[in-house]
Amino acid sequence: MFRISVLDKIREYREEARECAYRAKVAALFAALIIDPAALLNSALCDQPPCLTAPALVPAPPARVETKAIPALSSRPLARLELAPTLISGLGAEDRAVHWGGVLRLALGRGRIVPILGAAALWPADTSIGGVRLRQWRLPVDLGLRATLSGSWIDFYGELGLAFALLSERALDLAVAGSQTGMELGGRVGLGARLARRAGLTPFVSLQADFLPDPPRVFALPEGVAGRTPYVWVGACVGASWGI
Amino acid sequence: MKPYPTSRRFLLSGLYLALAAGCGQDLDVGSDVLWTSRFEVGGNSLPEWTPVPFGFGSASAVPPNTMEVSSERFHLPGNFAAKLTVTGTADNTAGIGASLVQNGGLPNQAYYSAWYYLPQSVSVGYYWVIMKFRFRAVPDDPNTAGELFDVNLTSPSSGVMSLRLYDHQSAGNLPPGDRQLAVSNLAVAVNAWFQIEAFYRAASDSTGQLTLWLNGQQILDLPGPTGAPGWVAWDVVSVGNNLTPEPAILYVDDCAISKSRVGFTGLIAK
Repeated sequence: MFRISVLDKIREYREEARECAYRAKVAALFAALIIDPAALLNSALCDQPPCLTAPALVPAPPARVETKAIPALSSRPLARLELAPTLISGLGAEDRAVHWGGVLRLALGRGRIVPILGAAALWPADTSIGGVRLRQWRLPVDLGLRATLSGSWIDFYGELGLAFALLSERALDLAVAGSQTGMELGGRVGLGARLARRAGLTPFVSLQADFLPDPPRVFALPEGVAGRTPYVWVGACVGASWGI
Repeated sequence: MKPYPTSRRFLLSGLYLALAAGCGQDLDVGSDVLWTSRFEVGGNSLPEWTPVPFGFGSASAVPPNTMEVSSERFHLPGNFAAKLTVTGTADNTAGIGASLVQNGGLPNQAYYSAWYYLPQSVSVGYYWVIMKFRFRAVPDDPNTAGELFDVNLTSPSSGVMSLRLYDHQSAGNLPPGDRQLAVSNLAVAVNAWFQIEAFYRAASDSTGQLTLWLNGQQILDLPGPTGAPGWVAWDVVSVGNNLTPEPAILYVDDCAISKSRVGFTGLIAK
């Protein structure tokens, strides 16, 4: 809580972060609203200033105004950089592979809805599709929008966007083993939560799923098309979010 | 109509490219097929059989029998097949016929597949071998070679063709002779392609094995000693004795040796 007093007018604001710059801005805005420009104009014409206009002679009682804690837009960080270890697994594969790695995501802007760009670097994992043993490597990238719901303690957010990934499959047991890289394209949804702190580092947790309508097919002789890579990839991460 | 600015066209092109690239690609990860003969290249010189990657191979027909690459019948995909014509004269000497042979150097265990086409039913008086395995007791000694398994066409009744397996080297105390198939009243189609696939494991002990499939259906599973590891011979042949009418024609196509089963729907080439 802090108090601003201008020309006998007093107002108290709740501001728990104790950010001096923010308080100064609020005080300046309050002062600009309190001072009557017409009174300043009249004072230039009177003989013995200060010449106060009639309304100003009636001192307003000190007002104690209950205000809500207003999250100021300008107090939000311009960008948010998130870094976290992650695990991602494809649903539907007969031998489910779990990819470990790290994810980096950037949210840009102060609004409630901001663009995001993310990428993950994952270790290869072994899996099996249609009886063909494979070493699978995946490099996912996503682009989308994040909508944030701010709370007193925790900010919740949801994400929607496009998911791209480079997917490499290498046969492990075939007589003539080959490797080929393809591309995945689909939609991405994500949900997350972080401690409500305007700037600096704060922990976060998130879940995400990539939905691929037409994932690559794995082809090997003599089987032909052994099957498809997963239609759905799900992932989770816990890490640090840095408000800049 | 205003044209799109260059940057937007670039962006749209990139998006279309990503959509096209990200839709249902085939990732070719390799093959378990070790060798194939589709009779599509080389004509009657049959280069897929001679020379061969597995030791010595041969393609031959003893006159008056003939073997040629023909477009009269072919198994899809493709335009050619081998046409094996044998006179099948009564009391023909064993071994006279048309032979495609993979001799020695084959893996100790593998799947062997071939497609056949009978243009008409044939009355088999004595035998008509269409696939066989041979062995050597001592891999490096040609003098120890012997017959092992013969897959035969039979004609149990007029107009009906079937299969039988003849075992030259009996396992255990069994005498040489026919081995009981797992399917009774087995019928082989006439005027249609059919596939015979075998799994053969060379072993002098009980780990040896011969398994047969007809059009993907298992018709025989015969565990037990086969031949000594280190030398396997597989023949796709038409060797007959007392066949009516003659000459008896058999088309052969899409032969393969593979590490995993080709099956009825498998592919041996992309």
